[in-house]
Amino acid sequence: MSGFFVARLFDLLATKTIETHTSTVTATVTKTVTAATTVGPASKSARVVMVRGAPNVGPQALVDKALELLGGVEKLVPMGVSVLVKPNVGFYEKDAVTDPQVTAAVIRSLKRAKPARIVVGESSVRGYDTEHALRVTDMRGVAEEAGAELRDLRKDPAVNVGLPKGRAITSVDIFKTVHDSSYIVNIPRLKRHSATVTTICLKNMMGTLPDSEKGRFHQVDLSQCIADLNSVVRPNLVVIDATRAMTRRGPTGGTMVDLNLVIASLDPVAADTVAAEELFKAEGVSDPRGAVGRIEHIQRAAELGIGVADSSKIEVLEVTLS
Amino acid sequence: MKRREFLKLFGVGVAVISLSDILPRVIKGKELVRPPGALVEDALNAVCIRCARCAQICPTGAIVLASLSDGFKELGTPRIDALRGPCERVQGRCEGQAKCAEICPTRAILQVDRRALKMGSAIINADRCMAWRGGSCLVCYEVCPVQGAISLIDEARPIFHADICVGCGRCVYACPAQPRALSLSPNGERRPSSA
Repeated sequence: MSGFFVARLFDLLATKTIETHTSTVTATVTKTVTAATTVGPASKSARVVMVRGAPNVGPQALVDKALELLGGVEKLVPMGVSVLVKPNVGFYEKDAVTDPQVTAAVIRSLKRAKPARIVVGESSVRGYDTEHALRVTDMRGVAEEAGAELRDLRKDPAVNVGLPKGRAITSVDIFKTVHDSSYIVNIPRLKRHSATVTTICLKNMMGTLPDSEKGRFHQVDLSQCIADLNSVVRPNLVVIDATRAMTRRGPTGGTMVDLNLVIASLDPVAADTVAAEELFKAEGVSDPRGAVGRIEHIQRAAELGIGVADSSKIEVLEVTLS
Repeated sequence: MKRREFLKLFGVGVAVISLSDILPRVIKGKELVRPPGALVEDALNAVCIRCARCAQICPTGAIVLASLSDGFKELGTPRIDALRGPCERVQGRCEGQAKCAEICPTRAILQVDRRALKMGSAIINADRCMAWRGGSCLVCYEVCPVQGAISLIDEARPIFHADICVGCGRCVYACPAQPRALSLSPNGERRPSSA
């Protein structure tokens, strides 16, 4: 068993020599973390890639490198599928939403896999008009130019889906576009959140729900409901926009910190775990890993088997582009 | 007593009881939250021609027309119903120009500086508030567009600062408590006195 993990470790290290697709961008593996010996036979593990860029490295290079390190978009996304791209466009302020340029970079990468269609879908926070949010944050213009359709999900009918693993709720209404999509790419911005400590991949999935369900989540048990939702409406791929992260308070009005970082994974729980730790580090929190362990919705999601929240079972591949 | 007499008496009784409650309210009028830049109360009621254009153009549907139970003088004039939507003058589609003021044909609603806006203030009923009852909800704090209008005790329970709150109603609209823990009041409103 340990031989397998050693082999995987070598696989990871082998990526050190990887190719640079533009002459100006060079990749350096700065850190690989794995805990092969602690992984038991029945335990799941997850891989998370972190791609940092020097200030002159743009979002397209960060996103391309991240997806390449996950195996390449052509292998990740089956040809001909209907892709839903779910950025966070919950608010009207640019700092509080996913950077449209990061979203566009992901859309351009996804097109290489030749999906049937790419739809950017969102239903903004209650009281915020999604169409206006898409417009004032430039998401509409930038994502359309990159080749996606945009959809205000509130115009969709709702479809009720069962949550067999759900602990707080047993079914949930989701929008039809989300229901009919066969591949979900979640692109949240890394932010603090007043009620759930952080809002990253798992929390961003609340934007697939009608307002009535968002309200119910708060009434029932917000953290458990977020976990329950992700047990069925689980993103296939997550690309976290941490180019600028919102620290100290959120989901609006926090202090913005430039990290020029993109974090990607096929496991939304592992991605949230790694990203939350980065956010706490950026804030100077004394025990960032311990703080992640106290984020209820991430831990509840791991308990449901949605992904891995145990840092010792997450392989983190960190790359810096300069 | 005959059936007919009984019904007559019963009808009179019902009318007296309902009127005794409604009549003073109709004459005095309720305290209404008005659209941004609406003239002071007497001037508004005199100048407004009850054309309803402001209600039709409001992008969130926050403007509704006052009913008879809001007051006789007020009947048909615009008021903000935050349960229908927030006012986006402070943040959103009316940031540039208040659409209600733009369309008002009699200047009963004026274009006022959005930084000086004060339509009223939000009021919290802590007994209904999920955060105050120990739950994890701070939706009001998340959606508030006015920095400092809501602050938190122990990072968990919201308190409202009526002097900073402008009364846009965004938190009232978004409050997920059933019944809602927040309501909008015209307390502290600032309104232009004439055109």
